[in-house]
Amino acid sequence: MSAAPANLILRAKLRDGVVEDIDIVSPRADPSPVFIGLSPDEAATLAGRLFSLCPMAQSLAARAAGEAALGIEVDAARGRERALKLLCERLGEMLRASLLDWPGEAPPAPEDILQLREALKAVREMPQTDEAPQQIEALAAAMLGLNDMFLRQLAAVHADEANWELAAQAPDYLGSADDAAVFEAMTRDPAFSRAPALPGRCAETGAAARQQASGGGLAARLAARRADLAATLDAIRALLAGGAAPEGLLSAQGEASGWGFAAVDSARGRLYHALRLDSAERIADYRIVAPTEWNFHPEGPLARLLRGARIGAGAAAKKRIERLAFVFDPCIRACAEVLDENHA
Amino acid sequence: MCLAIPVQVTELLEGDMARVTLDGVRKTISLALVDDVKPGDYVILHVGYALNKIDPEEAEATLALLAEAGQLQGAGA
Repeated sequence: MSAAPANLILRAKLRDGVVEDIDIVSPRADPSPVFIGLSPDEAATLAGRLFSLCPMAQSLAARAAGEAALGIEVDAARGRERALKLLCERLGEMLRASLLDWPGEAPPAPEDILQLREALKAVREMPQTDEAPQQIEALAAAMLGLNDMFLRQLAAVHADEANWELAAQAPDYLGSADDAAVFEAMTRDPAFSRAPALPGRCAETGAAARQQASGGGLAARLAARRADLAATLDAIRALLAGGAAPEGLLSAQGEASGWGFAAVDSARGRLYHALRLDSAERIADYRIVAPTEWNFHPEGPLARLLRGARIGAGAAAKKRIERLAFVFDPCIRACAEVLDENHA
Repeated sequence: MCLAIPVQVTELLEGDMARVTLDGVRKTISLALVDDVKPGDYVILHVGYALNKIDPEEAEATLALLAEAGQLQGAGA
């Protein structure tokens, strides 16, 4: 096994500056089999250290799926504690991705890295401290400090906007109303996890879906991410002030057949875990559907925006594809390869 | 899904950078987002940045599990 995480490859065939086809090659690590034979509690602990990104979302999805399979009810206080952990992680992950994953002209600026470090410290400490009000102010200040970075990204996108044109597609957002259909599909077919799709749908998940962004391409999704960051900060404030967690942040259900299912609205979108327990309450089957698999499905929303898009040629086309991938927020680095049929 | 592959820091460099060995290949990474990393520590990496430090026992256990998952992938799972 290679220990180095491979990249997500977006291989575009161009002719006369238009994308004829796009091939998405994912390294697709699926560690689900390592959960087999564990207790639900062991699975939740393991999920928290098996993933480099969103470990809290992965761990709580595993825990909630296990509790659902066992018919365990979660009280309101525990639910709020989990919601705070999930929202804090979501905010930190989104900020980090926004800075580190942006395909810019230069590496992230040192002052932005410092602001990010402050923000990550605040979101890490907030769920574990009695001084959450101070932490949230530190977080808000760090986010304000990163505002210029967002403005630079938006300016770069707007400056290039007239040079390319995506294939128009109305967005089709995955939401908590789809949970039952996803659960049914993922338990019915083990291969669903690798390339999830619902009948007649081209589902997108992530910040744009949470914000119900009204279509558009790169700029609209970038703006949706900023709006979602602000909304997540507001949701943390509301939770700390005694309010309710956002609907659908963490939902779970169990079935008499032994399956337990959980969905979490993580930074990159809806994350699903399903597990089946045997009579000894050990895990007999485990399935995970990650948000990246919807957005980067071979026939998914990114591919549909790119097929038929007018994106130019060479290095400029490569950068445009990578920036579009950035707003769909893959959990691994996306690299575009451009094959120009005019020069093939 | 991005697996958390622990890498061991072999040397601290100037400017909050460090050298790690990943898959037998020496690589330079940034420590700008983490505190108190020393040579010998294990960190989790993402796009050239250490995201967090983890204890050696946890790192060994995770590496063993990832190796197992790798064999499963190799078998077409």
